[in-house]
Amino acid sequence: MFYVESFFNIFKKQPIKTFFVVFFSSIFVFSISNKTYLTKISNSMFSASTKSDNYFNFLLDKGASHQHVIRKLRNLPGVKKIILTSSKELDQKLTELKFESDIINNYTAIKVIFNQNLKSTSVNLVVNYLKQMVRSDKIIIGRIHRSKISKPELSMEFIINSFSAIIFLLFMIIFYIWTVEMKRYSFLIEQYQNKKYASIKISSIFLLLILLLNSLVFVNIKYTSPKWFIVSFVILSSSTLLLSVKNKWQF
Amino acid sequence: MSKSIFKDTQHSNPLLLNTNWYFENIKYSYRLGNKKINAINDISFELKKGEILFLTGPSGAGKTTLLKMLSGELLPDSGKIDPGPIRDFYPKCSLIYQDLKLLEHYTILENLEIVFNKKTHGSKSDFLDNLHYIAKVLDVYNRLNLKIKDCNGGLKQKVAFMRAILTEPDILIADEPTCSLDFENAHKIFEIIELYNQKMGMTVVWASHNRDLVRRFSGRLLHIEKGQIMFSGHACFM
Repeated sequence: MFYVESFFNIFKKQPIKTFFVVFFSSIFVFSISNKTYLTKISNSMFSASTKSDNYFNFLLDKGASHQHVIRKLRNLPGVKKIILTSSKELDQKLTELKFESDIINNYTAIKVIFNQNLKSTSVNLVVNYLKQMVRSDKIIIGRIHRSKISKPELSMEFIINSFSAIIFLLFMIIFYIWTVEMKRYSFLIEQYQNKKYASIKISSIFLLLILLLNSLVFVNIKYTSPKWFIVSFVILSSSTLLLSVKNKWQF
Repeated sequence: MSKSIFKDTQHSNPLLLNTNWYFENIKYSYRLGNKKINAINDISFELKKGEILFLTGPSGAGKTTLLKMLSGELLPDSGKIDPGPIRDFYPKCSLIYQDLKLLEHYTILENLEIVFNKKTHGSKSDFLDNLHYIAKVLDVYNRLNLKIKDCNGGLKQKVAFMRAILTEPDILIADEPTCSLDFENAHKIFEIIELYNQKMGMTVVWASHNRDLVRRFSGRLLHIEKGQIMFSGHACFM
């Protein structure tokens, strides 16, 4: 209780500094332990337009049973969806591509969409399977459109990691400034009250506060990773205690 | 003096109540650039429990170094402190630092309240009674809510003294505690020290460069120059 009172005495005397210390440390723990959640949110905010799946189109001769082909393809692993393109849509596409319009009469257009992040080897296996299933004169396979989603995801993760590092740096600076007054206060407690490790104990109160604040977030956000929560808290605790360990009257 | 000040007087280490400290052939030097400076040069003396010992000498004589050794902050290069640094035996050892070490953004009252300890003072109201009494004697009572940064040097010294004495120490080690005070205020401080010395058997080690001032008080005096003892005896004989 004594150290809780001491922490709040220091808090009262430097409310702005204490606020920023608590703020930056909470943001740091939050950003590390909710990296997945933040990446997901950021992607939906900034890279929605680039979001697309792996897919390819093929034209199947009307002489071949497109239902049989679709059924076989649908059972393959990695295939997400198969869409039968309507004649109207196909006509529009062919006009755009300046193809002969009699294709509509002879072919059925089918679009095969793969699961996200499916490896290109798996995609090629599906295409090869299709080539083997249908005679080559009865099928025209279009090029495979690759997903563009993996790259933005990586860069977003990098941005979030960089953001966490900057926040941690800011925390260290503001915490160092905050410890000057805290260490003086602790020095006096140790000198005149015969207490030991006062600054470490006061810092521990601060860490408990951060733990409590972030646990509340942890409970409310289902994406919080327990592993990364512990890692971020260990980083925060060790750096905080390291800065508090030398208890001297400093200027 | 209010009775409450001494009602719970207890020594932090009763087994050592009558222990004297022996400083034998103490030497201490430090380096300033390439130059080796002998701050303390083969000093031997005895510190008796319950006595008032003045350390006098010009600036740089080695008074502060000797006080730091007493408190255990510094260890001698050679020689022996028997039974050991005072702080190891008496945790209730208060220091008044030369630079005072006050919290500038805190009020006088807040600086003094830092020393409140339930074990030592019992209730907060008893502690505040003592605080108010000493504050009245030293003419600080009406300025308790003044921030330290707004105080003059003399007032700061009074606060540093009050903070040290409010811990009800067994030993008080003071480094130039009255250098910014006039004789009247220095006398008031000494009266309080004498009272604690008589009622509680508080040992006092008081460093000062002002020989004329300490000569007026009762106590033993050690005069140091260039790290060596030049005089040892009753203060009034110096």
